[in-house]
Amino acid sequence: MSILKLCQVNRTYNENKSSEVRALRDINMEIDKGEMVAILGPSGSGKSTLLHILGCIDADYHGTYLLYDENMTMKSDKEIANIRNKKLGFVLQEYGLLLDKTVLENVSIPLWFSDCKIRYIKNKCLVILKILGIQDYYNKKVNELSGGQKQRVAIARALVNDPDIILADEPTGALDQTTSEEIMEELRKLNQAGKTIIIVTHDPRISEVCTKTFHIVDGTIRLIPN
Amino acid sequence: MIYKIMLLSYKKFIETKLLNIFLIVQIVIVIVVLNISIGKIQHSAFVTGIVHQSEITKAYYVAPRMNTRFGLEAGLINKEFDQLFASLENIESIEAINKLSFLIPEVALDIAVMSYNPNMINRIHLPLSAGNWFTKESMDHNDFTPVIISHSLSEYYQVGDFITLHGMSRSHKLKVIGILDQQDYYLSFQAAGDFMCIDEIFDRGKNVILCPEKPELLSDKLGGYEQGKLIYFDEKTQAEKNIEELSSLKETCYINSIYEMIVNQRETNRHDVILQLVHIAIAVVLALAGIGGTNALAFIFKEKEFALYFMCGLRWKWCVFIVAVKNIILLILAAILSFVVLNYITTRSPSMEVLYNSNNFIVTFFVLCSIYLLTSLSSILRMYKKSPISIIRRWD
Repeated sequence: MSILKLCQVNRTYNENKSSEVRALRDINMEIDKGEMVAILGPSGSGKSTLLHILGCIDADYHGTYLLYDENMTMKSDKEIANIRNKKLGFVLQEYGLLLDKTVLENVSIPLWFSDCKIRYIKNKCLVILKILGIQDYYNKKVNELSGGQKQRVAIARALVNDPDIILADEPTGALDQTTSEEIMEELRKLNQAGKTIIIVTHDPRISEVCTKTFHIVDGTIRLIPN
Repeated sequence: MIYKIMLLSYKKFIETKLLNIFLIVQIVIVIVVLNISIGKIQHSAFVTGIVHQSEITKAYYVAPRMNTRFGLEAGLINKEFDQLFASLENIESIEAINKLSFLIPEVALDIAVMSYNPNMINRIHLPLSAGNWFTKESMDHNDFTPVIISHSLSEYYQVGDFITLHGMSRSHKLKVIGILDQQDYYLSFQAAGDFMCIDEIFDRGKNVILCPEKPELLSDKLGGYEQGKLIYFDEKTQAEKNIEELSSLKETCYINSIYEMIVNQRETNRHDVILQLVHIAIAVVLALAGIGGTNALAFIFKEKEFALYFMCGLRWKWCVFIVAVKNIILLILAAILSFVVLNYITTRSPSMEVLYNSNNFIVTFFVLCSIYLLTSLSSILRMYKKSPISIIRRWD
């Protein structure tokens, strides 16, 4: 069952200007529920642009983006924000954490914008932190943690609202080999638990643990059979 | 949701308390400087306006009373000024008034009671329009006190009338024996290093009663209103020397005519206005660079946080709301503090002679609010135009 579908998606920066850049060209892709997908490509190939569109952060594109068979271009600002909050979780290369805040404060961010009552926020965060094995650090400042721990905190933040889709932008890019493998193992476990994982990366080894791999070059995408 | 966002806004405000204190202090400084400077310019304009409208021979010199309680009496001052302007044509002459003492019509007369030393009977004689000057015999009464009233009070009392002063430990019965003539000149003299003006006698208002020295009459408060400065001529030798110098009008003594007063006043006003304009310019620069700059800079450091919030499901509408709540808390605190500081300065500082106006306070406060909110909005707009993930990446 398709959870996410792009049809003829084009994204152009500085349209109709001399500095016009076509970042994505006629993108067609389909991702099923429970898949673990890698989007491989070199720097400047359009990976991040694609991630922004998939993550409902960039709406300035041509074409159709269907999420749960619903056209995202027809959604209001409120509905899109709700989707980002409840259906999508983001894991970024350099963690995207507030370094001067505690682990708990970082993980709880999505819950502030959800229906979760304030009194349940802490418990909900602690449950996720326990699953990821970092519950002991909940009161520590993020800048006191190691790279692997930081990425686990980022994963915890992505998971805290129990989204169906995790979008990971180079999740192992800032980590050493061992920690990278640990993080990939965490993502694989999540996938086994039913989450759809979409990883944007330039590391071909990532695709080895994925069920589907797309290759993106100069804004065009093609599916590589595993 | 709204409760959570409000709570989050409050947390954001507390998190940046040092920065907020810095901003509040800047706003308070700017508001106080602007209010004082604008008040002084208005005062100068007011005085200049009166001087321009007056005839030389019937001129008057007016300045606001000291230490007007900011805000509480600002409306009253405006009203009184309006009335004064409205009645300007009907005023034939205002004598030497350094401090404008506001009358509250139909409530009470604002009267300054001045002490007159009986020993000076043969030395000081101010010209009278009616009645007689004090004599040793006239001062010797047990059932009333003989007094001489200023010309303005002749509207209410004539020679031979009795005046009862209330508002003291007991009432005092005064009998009018003379009415001072209108003054169209100033006399001042310098003696023993102290500058004295005869018109100081009238400095708190035009309604002056000269009475023989009676300590029980020399209260700071009379009828609920602050009364005039007391002039004693106790030290006979010194006073006699002064009077001799005054009467000779040579070398050490000089007369400032009303015309000279007007010229001096214009010059003083011009300098004062230039000085206040410089203050205003500094305050405006501080407002733009300090408040606007600090706020914009604070936003840049919060950019990543807002980008993360957006990525995690915050709508831009709520983002603006969080900023607005934080700003409103900050601006309310700044407004209260500015008000308190202005009140403190105006009521405690003895040298403060500023015309305060609640309208000035409101205008300056809203101008600062606009600067502050515009920088906030432009910062949000700048963030809105960028991709949140690229903002996060940049900060990571």
